[in-house]
Amino acid sequence: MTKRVWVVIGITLLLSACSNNPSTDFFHAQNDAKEIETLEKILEKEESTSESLSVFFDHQLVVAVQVQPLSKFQKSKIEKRLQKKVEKEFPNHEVLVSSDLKIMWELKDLVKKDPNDKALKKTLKDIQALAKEET
Amino acid sequence: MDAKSYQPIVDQIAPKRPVLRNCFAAFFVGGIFCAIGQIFSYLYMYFFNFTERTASNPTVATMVFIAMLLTGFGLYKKIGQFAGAGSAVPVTGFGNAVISAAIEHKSEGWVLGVGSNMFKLAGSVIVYGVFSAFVVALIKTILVKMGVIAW
Amino acid sequence: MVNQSRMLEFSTKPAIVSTAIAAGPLEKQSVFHSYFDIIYEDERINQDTNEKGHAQFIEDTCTLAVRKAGLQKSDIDVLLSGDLINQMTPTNFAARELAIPFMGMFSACATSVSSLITASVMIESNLMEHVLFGSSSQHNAVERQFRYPIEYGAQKPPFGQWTVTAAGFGVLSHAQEDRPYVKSATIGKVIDCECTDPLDMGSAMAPAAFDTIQSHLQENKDEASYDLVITGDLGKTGFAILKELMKKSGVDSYPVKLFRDAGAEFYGNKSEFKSGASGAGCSASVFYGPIYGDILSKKLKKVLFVATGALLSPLSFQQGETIPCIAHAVEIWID
Repeated sequence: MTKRVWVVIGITLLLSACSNNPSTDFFHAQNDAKEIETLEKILEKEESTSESLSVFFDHQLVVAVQVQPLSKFQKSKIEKRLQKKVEKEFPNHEVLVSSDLKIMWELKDLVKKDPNDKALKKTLKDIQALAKEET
Repeated sequence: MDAKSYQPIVDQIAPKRPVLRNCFAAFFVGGIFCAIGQIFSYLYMYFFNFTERTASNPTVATMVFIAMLLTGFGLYKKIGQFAGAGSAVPVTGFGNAVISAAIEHKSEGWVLGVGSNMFKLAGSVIVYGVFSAFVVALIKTILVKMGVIAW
Repeated sequence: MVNQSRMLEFSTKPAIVSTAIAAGPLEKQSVFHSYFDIIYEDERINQDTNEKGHAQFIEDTCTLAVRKAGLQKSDIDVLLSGDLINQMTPTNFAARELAIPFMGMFSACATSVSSLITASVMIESNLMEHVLFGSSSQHNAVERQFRYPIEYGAQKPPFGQWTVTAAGFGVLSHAQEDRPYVKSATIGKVIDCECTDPLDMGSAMAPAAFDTIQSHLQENKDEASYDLVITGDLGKTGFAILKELMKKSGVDSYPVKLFRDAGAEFYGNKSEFKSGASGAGCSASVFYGPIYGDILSKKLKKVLFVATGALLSPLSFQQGETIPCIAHAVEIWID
């Protein structure tokens, strides 16, 4: 009886790891639809990302992506590649692309709070500093 | 009785290590240690201001701390008897090697006993780890200079 | 050689007048625990270090053996003993406390019998009246020296053995009625079958045991049969190999009622002890405890003790050397 339960749990765990719903979310402080569209095109081309969240504010752009489990070995390469692509498209913005899970969580919290401009600026700065930490 | 004719008798009679069972046990226990480490990583990222990159430091420290408690209470060797490589390979195994040697040599004092003998077992890990890192970096530098691969 | 044969015969019947056995807390799990005189609660005998504890229980056991013989320490002419620790320091420190003239002996785990053989020669020569002999081992001290720190999580293989914390000592005097006496002995030769695994002592020691047993039994082919031939610490693996060697060579057809191994039986069938017990204290505590008791009560009348030892050091093994072994045999009778 218990062996069967273990088999069921094992299969459920395996299957849950296989689910794949790529989602791209955006938050624009000034609601510039054109910028969002440009970014969306770049992100959709990238097949190895499973989720992404981008925040536009003033001339800052922070993109948090999550890489597919199988491509985790190329995580930093994908991050650098996306960084280059996005910087090319948005030469007037201060761009940060991060594949770090913490950055994704922080951005999600930020968007949920729906802050005013001052708070948004401060939080974005904090997030950028956090992403640059080495130790 | 000469050595050549004796060895086949030993091979026939001495019990063999159960390799397949050991492999599964090592996989299972090693996996659990890694899963626990991953949970600690997530906890550090969720409750504190660590990123994925920086969370590895407190995670390793926590895992070694746990290894220290298990070693001190005499539980790590029981896990090791079951798991073999599954408990020896992760960083907890490194911790266990250092801590068990430190406990053992306390009777010879802090400097000549604990200090010089602490890395009796783990010393080769450090020496050959550093050396192989050097060799790999050297090979990569040469290959990059030759233009075979890029950084 | 003075004698034609390799076997030594003792015509004056040097008698083992008393024995004493001490063991550590884990040895309570032994099938022989009821025969042990002292069982300690603490592996270190409440001392600071394992080695100090080792010296302490050697001293305690020797004192008890002397008292059981109805003698004083000053009556003992010489203490013959040794252990597995470097330079035999626990025995040396115990000898310091006992203040008996002392001669250290080293035969690894075969010291229990090598000390008895030497004692018998001394009593036979009539230069001595009473000799204290025996050997001991302490698990933590031996593991730390030969293998890994106690708390290290290395996996023990199924042919591995557990070093016991035990001591077995006896007093040998001139012939005494109703006491087991030493009839004959065979001193072992170093046998090396090129085994290299320090975790598999049983396989390394079996050829040495076989050589000594074959030599001794061959001299006694036409005599009355032995009630028991018991080896020291071959363990379940080594003992199975010994039986195979005896079968192949026909030695198992010699007149012996029963073959046993002290190491294989020491902890019974508990699987955490793998192939069984080992250590200088294993053969000493079993030979001079339960088996001596059976001979004293005349359940057994003719017994051959064969203690086996592996003559390696941690350094020799690291330098890639093989493991040479030795086995000493002593024949005990009671009239």
